[in-house]
Amino acid sequence: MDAELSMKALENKVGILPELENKSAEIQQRNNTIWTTTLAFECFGVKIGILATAGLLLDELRALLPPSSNELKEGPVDKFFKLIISETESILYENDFEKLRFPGNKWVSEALRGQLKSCVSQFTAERVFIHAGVVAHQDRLILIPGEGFSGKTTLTAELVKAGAIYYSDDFAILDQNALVYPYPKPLSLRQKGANTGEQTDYDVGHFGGVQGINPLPVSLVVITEYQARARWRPQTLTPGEGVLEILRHTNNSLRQPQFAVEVLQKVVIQAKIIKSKRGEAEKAARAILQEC
Amino acid sequence: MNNTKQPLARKEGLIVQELPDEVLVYDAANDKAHCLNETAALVWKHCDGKTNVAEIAKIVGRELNASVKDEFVWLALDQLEKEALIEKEANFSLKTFGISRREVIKRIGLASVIALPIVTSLLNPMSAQAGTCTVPCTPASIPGLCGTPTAPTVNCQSICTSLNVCAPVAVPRIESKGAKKNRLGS
Repeated sequence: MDAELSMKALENKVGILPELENKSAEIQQRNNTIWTTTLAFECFGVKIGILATAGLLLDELRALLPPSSNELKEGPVDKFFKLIISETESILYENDFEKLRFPGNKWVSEALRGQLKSCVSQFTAERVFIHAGVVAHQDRLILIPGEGFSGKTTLTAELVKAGAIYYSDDFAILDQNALVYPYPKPLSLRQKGANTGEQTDYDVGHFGGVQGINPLPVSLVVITEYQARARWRPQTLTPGEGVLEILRHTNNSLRQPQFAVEVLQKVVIQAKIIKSKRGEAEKAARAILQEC
Repeated sequence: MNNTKQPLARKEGLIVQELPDEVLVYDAANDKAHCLNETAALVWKHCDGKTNVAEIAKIVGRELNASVKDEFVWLALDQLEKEALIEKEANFSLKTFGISRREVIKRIGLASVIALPIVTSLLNPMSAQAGTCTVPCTPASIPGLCGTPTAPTVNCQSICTSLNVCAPVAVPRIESKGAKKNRLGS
């Protein structure tokens, strides 16, 4: 069966009710919209359908799926996204509610990629998703949780340059035994000092590193963020303090709190947890590797 | 302060995980996580609705092999009640007695060698970020378009940063409700 589903077929799969379509006058007005690209996929147990208007080809859409996604040939799905693309304005709906609206179509791909990734990380019940940079050094896994713009990718890249094995610059994915799996994606770096959110993807080989393969337990948790001229002065946190720090960045902790807390408990019991502001990433990377 | 009051620990909606010398409590009803240090956890453990404050002080003292004053238990109960970890029927807030936490710590005395009870809490930032957009946003020349809710059911908590990126609103900081220095005399 062709993976490219017709709109009607996909809508049947996702169970869109006619009354939902009529809820918003704006969506109703767009009932004549022609969906040219449709796709359904599963990622860590979350099933998502996508409908897009002209402007996004199926192969382009496939490239936006989160790592470890598998295309679905039959439904139903848990969530669906609709993307209406035009040169003047593009709109992204999640389950028929408007999620994002932006002028033009420049950010369409990035917007959808971000939303799909975010959706999987928040709704999966199979793994714990921690927003973090992850590397391994001599079979000891280093987890660097942090929000966007905290310098995670920069630090991850420096650790890789210093010899660490790359696991992820985006998510640490943990199973019920608190083993961390690689989240294979290129490192997405913002240009230094650039005044935009635009990122450039670099293969890990660009930094002289390799992608990790084997799942590993966490040995070291590093809570850090960049601050100009900050000195590296790590303090050791208690396991409980560690859980609170990591929980801030655990995407599915809200929907799967029991699972998340149980897994994080295993992490903090086995790992050392340190916290410090950092200055330049190169120095911090050297100091972190010495902690291992 | 009435030392015959019998505090009762809340059980419903809580996920409790034991850690070495600490207890982690996740309040699924309020999306809050709490870390109770050893002494706060001991007090909480004995809040069975049958044991009064004075008795809890004695039991905790026995378990820690130290002298524990009633005020020590009140200091823990004040925090536990504030974080909805004990049932609200009885009032254990120090404020209602017109006493500050600092005053209670003074009464406990500087000679105490056991750690003061501390409850560290965090509102799960994911509750604020649910539905957040985290993508590059519109140019600054058209501010505010990013994440603007257009339907009442949309709860996008994002802001457009100066970097033209949709970013979550400030992530709550972890708050410690106990004294900063948790070990008197050290």
